[in-house]
Amino acid sequence: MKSRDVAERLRAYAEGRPLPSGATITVPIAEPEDRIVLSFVRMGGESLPWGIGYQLGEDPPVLLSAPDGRQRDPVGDMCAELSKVLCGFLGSPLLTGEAVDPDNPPPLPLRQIWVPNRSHIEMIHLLNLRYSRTQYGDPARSLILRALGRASGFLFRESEREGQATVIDASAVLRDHFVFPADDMRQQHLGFLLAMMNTDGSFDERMQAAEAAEEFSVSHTLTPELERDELSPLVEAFNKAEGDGGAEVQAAASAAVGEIIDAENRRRIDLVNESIALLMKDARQENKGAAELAEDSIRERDCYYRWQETTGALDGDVLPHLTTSALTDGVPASASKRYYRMLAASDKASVCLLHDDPELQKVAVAEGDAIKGTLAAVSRAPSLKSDSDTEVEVWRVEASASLPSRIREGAKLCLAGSPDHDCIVTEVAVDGETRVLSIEPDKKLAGSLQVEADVLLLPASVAFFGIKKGKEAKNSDGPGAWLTHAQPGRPRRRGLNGPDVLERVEELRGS
Amino acid sequence: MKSDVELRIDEVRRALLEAVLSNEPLTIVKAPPGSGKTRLTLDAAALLLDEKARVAIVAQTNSQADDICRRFVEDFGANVVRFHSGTGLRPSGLPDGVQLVSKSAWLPTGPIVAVGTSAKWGLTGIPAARFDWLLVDEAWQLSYADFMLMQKVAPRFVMVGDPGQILPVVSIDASRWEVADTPPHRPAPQILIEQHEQTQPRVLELPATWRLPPDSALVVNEFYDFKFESAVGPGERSFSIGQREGKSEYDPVIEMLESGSMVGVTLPTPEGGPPLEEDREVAVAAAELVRRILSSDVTLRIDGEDRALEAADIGMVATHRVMNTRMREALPPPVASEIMVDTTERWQGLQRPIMIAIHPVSGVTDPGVFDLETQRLCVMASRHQIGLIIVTRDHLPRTLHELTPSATQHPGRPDASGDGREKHEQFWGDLERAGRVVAL
Amino acid sequence: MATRKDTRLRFEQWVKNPTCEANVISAVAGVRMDKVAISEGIKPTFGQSPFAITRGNSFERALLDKQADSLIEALCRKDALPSGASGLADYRIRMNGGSLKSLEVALVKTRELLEAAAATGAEGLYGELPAVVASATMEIPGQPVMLPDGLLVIDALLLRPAEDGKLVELVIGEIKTYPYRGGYTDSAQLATARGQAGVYRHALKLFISELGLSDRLVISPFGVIVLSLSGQNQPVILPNEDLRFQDKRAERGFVRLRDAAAGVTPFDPADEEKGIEKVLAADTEYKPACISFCDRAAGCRLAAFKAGDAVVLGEDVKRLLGDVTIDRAVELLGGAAPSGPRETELAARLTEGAAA
Repeated sequence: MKSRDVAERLRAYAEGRPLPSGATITVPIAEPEDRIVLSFVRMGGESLPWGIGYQLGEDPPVLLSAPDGRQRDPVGDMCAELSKVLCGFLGSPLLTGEAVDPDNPPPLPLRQIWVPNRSHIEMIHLLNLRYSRTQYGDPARSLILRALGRASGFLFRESEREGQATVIDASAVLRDHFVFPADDMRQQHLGFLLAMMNTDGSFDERMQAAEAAEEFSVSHTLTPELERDELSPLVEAFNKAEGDGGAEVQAAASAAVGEIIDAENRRRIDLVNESIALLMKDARQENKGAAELAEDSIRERDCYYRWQETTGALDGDVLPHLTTSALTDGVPASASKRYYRMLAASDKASVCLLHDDPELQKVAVAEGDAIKGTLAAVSRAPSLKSDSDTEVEVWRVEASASLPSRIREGAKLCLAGSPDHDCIVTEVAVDGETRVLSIEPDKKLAGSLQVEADVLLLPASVAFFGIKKGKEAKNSDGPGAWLTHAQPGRPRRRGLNGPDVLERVEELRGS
Repeated sequence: MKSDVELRIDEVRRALLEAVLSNEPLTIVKAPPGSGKTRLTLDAAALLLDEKARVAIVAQTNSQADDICRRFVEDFGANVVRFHSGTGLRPSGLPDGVQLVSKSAWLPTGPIVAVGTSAKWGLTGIPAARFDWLLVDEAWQLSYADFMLMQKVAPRFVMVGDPGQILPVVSIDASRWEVADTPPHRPAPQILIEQHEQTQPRVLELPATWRLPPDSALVVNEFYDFKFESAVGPGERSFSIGQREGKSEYDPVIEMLESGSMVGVTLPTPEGGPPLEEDREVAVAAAELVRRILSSDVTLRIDGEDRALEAADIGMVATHRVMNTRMREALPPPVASEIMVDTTERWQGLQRPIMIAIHPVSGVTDPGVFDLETQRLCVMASRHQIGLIIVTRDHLPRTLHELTPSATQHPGRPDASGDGREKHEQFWGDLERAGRVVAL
Repeated sequence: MATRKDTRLRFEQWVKNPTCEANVISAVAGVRMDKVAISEGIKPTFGQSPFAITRGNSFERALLDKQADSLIEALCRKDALPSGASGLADYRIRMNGGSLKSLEVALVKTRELLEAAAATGAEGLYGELPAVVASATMEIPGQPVMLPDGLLVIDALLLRPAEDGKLVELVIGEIKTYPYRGGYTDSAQLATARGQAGVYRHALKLFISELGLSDRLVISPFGVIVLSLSGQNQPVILPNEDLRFQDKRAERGFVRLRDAAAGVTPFDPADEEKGIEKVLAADTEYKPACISFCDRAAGCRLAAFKAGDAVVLGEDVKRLLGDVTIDRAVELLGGAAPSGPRETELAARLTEGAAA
């Protein structure tokens, strides 16, 4: 934490309530019909859901549960129900039976999955791990579960991509947009955050409400007392009745378990809806960069989920051609490609929101990634950029040297509000308390600024390079690919591409 | 006549050059700081050029690439191509003999040595007349992902680098690849060595550093998994104080540089704990040390030659930019512009006779994995040719001793926190045991 | 209570907050913190899920079933054991699904096995000596009066040939039901497993030294962690987990724990009331992380709030403010005149921060 963050937290404490952080809303919020709120609860020690709750748009929530979270079939049935909804929601025709041309699918807007907190995203990963290659049980059901596995895999991987707008962690969004007068651990609890936000009254009253909210879990785990005191006896009764042939007792126990589990998911869903409502009525405008990030999310979904599912669906495939590993990328080229894609996304996310949010700009300046100063002089000089001897406009920008700076010679910056026009830093010097930068602006910006104008220069995006590298990563037709692209675990043929040297010699001998 | 250590260095050099002459497809050289690794790369390039080969040299930054070109022309009087970006700053200040080329189609045919950054080699199309060799300088700075892009350049590889340096920065969550066989974010030579059964690299280790004095080399060697010593002979380096005015509380610290190359300095930790984020008192102390050194009429001996110490002979380093800013602000104005004050990352590959460093754990009462990583301390402790003063709050040894770090590393990975804690404790403990820590 | 030989659990509790006097006394003397919380009128929130306990037991049982065939096969596949390794010595007590009467019996059997391993060397492997010992039990010395001698039970101790081919190498194996998720495997869970394995490794070294077998047995610096594959009973083997520093952590920690025990004014640990009284009278040092393991944390947090302790806004806030209360810091941020150098510096930092 920086002293700036401490000051903000103290201010929030002084005001007795959470305070807005940032001048814009940086996450796009999809229309209700394009949102699913999703929640899980699981039994202690297990890695699959005991209950699933989802709400599509403004429809009533659907609450599913299994009487015993350890039983494969009831849990599988529950997950299959989710699969049918989720896969279609994300644009897969596999379970809807739609005929879709993979290269020309009907346009689908941004579709979002909202979850209470990070633990639910972990559960999505667990579904990916468990189901993406399952062949257990009825083939028709295992096909549906594999579809869930793949959808979950896409969602989990996408959740890791910075700037993505498909999988939204409600707690994280609130923390990103508000400063809370509490320690970081408490701020992980969505109920705590919302109670602090929505309770009218003094700080003490808000804190009281927040403490009461904290009594209830919002992660996918249940409290040990609930499991021990209420659920365990019911599960035991259910299992005993199954053995004793007591169908009525079983049904009652199952219903009682369902009531508790459903209530838990219902509460979590309600909290997420509360978060969305809070953000929707926030006076701050949506950051213009968020729309760009939303477009990227749509592209990612269409390219890395929908196309694959649509292609697979053409064959009515039992095991689609491409099931990305839930754990890692075993092929070096795939690992590299994904790595570059993630780097490019991270870079883009960090710069595209800056232009529309003066508070984010302040943070960037304080961190040394951006510079705020004055245009001290404009001159003309031969370009110092590659392969150009023509004279160009050169800006001399002066800023305070008391702030740290990461900006070096050769760095690419852009004027706030002009993200598409790169300016290159040709020289950096510190003269007493002043930092002096010489800058060659994009030729389209020549003449756009007057001397003594305030100047705010933000980092330019280098995402393009990441994308280009990602495309290059798969190429393995070069002379060094024997080393760089060889599959681990298989002996790499030392030497050049071509026939084995012994074979060559034998050929020579023969001739 | 050459010393034993020089002969052993020659052995490794010979082994590398013989390996390239015999077309060894992959050779990796582990090189301690200041061991002449770039010189090794240049030697190999010159030899291969003499054999009429086409050699591509990969540098990690533009300034490193420019430096390699400069040195190649100066050392061998041969022409070299500087293969540079078409959109960034055009390289400048290079001698005649360096040809600037930005498009791959314009690369000369026939035997050449061409130097470019990893970004340039990775993203450019290479023409049909490809290269025969790819020599990677500062190879531990090259991620495996970036290395994969080099597949188009050449079939044979030499990688020379310092395994103790700061690893390539990973600005995203790389958890997905932590259990992969070829994690794209980790240093390429490290992966190739780990997979030695498949890659069968020839691995060489340079046995000495030309930069560090013997006592420093012993300390810094603890950060490495191979042995090296100092190639600095007795009497070749020294720090002597001349006439100075008055007394200063910093005198005992500076005087210690006359008898050894590493000194620790502690400032008392405030009762409420060290300051968060920036420690102005420590920054001011570091700047005062510089002031006092400059007014102590110091004579430096480097490689047998004596001369007066100048401001530009001193370098200052801290982990965080804000501390560097405070140190710079506290320096006396006439010399502030002559003294390089920067982060550890920026100091890699550079050296000064005298270094003043802020210990990376100074002010950190609950060190995490980042703070305990040894690479930052290793780089800080290996920039000096004559003397290093390392400044910290005095909570440091207690903090390290009481620390019980959790092993949160990914499955199968080394315990960096545990290892880091131990190495940090040993480093400072060595100074204390040698009586080389002064409490201010 | 002090007769409970659960030294490892006390160590883990102590290490979570070694500067909190109340925590130290509770850990050293075995005074249960949930009982202390109840005495203060705080409802304890910890305790384990009954399902998690059952799952843990059933997972372990499935692994050790049929002479631990499935576990040994998985270990061989990952080269944690050599191909052909076999045999299970099961020292679990009845309560845990085994056949032994008590931990003391398990302790004797473990001793005998280690002596046999030292005597036969690698030659005895997989005939006389098993590949896996379930619940190998060791004793380590405590500190008189307050910290009893500890009995520690290793989930799975592996035996394999040492590098020299002659001696037996012992490998600590820790079994957990945590789901393996590759690089996403929960780092806190991994740290817990490694921490425990480190304690066992340290304890095994002491135990073997006590038996005079240190030069005839090798203990691997790497341990094996067994996790579960996403909700199934299939094990995932992490074969080379670095335990060297966790071992040292345990070693240093035990020394400090014993020193802490020596610093506690002795009382009869069997006297629960007295123990609770002692813990209640002790100073506390609240940290936000306390919420995750201590039943008294909510009370300590409230006390910190009332005292204006900046820790309630986070540890970094506390670091910056030091002993300056939150209300006073707010005043300084609002322009109040600072008194003394500490407040002057703080005011400057806060003002600068607010302006940034």
